[in-house]
Amino acid sequence: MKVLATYNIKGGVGKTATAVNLAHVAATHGNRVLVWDLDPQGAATFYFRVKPKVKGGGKAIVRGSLELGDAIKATDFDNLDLVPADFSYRHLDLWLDDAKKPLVRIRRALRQVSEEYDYVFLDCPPSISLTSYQPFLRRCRCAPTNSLIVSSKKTPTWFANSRFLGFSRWLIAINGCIGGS
Amino acid sequence: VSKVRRYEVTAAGDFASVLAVLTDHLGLRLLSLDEGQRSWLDTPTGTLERAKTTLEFRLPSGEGTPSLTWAAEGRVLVYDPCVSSTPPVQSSDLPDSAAFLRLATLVDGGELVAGPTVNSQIAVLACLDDEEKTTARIIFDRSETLDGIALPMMIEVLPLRGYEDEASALEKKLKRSVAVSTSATPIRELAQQGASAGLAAGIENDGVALVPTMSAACAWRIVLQTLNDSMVQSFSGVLSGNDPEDLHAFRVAVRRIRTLLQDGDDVVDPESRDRFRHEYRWLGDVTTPTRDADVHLIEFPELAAMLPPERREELMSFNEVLVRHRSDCHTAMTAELRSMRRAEFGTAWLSFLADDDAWTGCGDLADEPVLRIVLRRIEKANWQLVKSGRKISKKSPAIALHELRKEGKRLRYLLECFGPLFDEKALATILRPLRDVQDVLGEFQDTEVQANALLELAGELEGAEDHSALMAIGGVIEQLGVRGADARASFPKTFGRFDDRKVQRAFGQLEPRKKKR
Repeated sequence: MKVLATYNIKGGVGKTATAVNLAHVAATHGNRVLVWDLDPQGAATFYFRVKPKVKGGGKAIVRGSLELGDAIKATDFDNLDLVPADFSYRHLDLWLDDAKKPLVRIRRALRQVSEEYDYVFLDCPPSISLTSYQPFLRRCRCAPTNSLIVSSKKTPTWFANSRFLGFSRWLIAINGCIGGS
Repeated sequence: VSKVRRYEVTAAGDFASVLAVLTDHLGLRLLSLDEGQRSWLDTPTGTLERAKTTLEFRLPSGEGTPSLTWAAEGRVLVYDPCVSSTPPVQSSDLPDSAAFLRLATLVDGGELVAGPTVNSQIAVLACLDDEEKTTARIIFDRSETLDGIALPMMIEVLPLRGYEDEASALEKKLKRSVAVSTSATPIRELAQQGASAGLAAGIENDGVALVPTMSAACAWRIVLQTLNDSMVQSFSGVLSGNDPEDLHAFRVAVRRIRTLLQDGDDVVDPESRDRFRHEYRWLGDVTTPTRDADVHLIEFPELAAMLPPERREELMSFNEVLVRHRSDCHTAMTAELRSMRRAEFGTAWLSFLADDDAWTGCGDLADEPVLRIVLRRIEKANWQLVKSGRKISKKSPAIALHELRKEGKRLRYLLECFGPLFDEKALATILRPLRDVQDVLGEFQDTEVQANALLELAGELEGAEDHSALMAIGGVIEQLGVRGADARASFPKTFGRFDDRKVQRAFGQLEPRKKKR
């Protein structure tokens, strides 16, 4: 199972559109795909018309009292499933902070469905937090992510560009290097 | 993963009326409505069935492109909406995508053969929630086999993951709105059963007995129907390959049908006759290698027993070669028997037998009394056999004896197929020596074919340096040669008994004597 995350510190740059469309393409090619909407705004959930509601909330998944598999909802597309977000995800950072070993929680949850899917797309919220921090730890053993896609607008504003460069420097600092452009 | 639930529609009404209930009364949204031919593919050994998956090739009847769907328990694993117009026959023909690569790995380079094939009308509907999100898919299917046997209309409810409660609610509504009964049988299995039932039912001849005064066309049809029944009875056994007798019985029926078609000029519709003669010849040919391989395996222990005990052990490795060869032949044969060609030809054949119009005024002699026609054909076949048999000498090539055997078969099958029309005593007088001649010619041909095949297969022995095994096979081939020579040596005497005045006179006595009052 390969895990890909879409992230940008800035909102509205196309993270969700990228994740959802890549997931759809992967599914139509016969891959078993899961999209995990980690953003409390629930844009990916909205894309698939799934109700933004998780039984027991994201808290249960983080704590391990709810199996990730039980939170999965099939979309209207074959081979493409979704873990919806709900508004309670805004507290995800707090729950992670409360939990032991917060940096491995997402990976641990994903491990439960590793046999069921070929690709998992994490649609991250636009912030630097415990939630979005996990996909970045490429060189760390606890990182769940194989690839990271940082999307930005085609014609970024000066501010977006400077934030992006700053963020890239930070990534290099925590990982030592970063590939691609 | 949610499992599919199946319902058989027991309500009266056609496809359109039930579909109207689903859309109008239950509020399901119609996603697609297709009509076309569906075939389920699998390896000859049933790999996909064992893995509880199905591979469906769909050929739309109107516009549109053929599609290929690999599914497990109603859940589509992969769907390619645009594939070649012919079903894939091996794993390398599968589309080049991740899931189909998984399928190719499962098939492991093996062949894919078409299993049951049906003509279907399929409606795919969606149950939507208030957000217009699909919570369950419904497949409504009306199919009939290529033999025209209608399968029960089926409704499959596929709950989407995470929406099991919604699907259960839908099922309750469905049961209230449409008369349905729960079914555990997927449509593929129903199609398989339907196809078998169609074959097994064949065309009933209503127990009509042959009568000398009935029209030739009518009698030909009855005999062909009976032969069709016996062919069908052995068909499933031929596919399973467990009992060689099934294949033998199947081939005998095929050969008899061929004989009847061959001798059916001016009785059977010429166009159909030509077509089916060609197809039955093909059917005979595709079964020949497996039958030959069966004979090798059946007779090999007996032949090996003729060798000194110390040499029998050396043949063990060769026996494995024979088993493997038989398995290969059976796999190839099964693929042909499950092919689209056989399915189409089988359907056309059954339609031909069932079609009254095809048997009315179909030839100049069709309305003539059957006895007169059959006696004329038997007389001709006998004369040909006697003429050819008398020409056989010690110097005649083997091919001449093989041809003679075919002529003997033709005569024998005509006598046996129309046996009830003839005088019993005269028939017995002819058949006894004729069968002896056939046995001798059969022994001669079989030993020759077997010897050649064993020689060829000996090359497949692993480690050609295994001279002891090769020597032992040489011993077996030698035994076959002796048997063949014995058969040939006994031919003149055996044929003489058939070409005897008493037997030949019996041909003139085949017409049953009228009972004195």
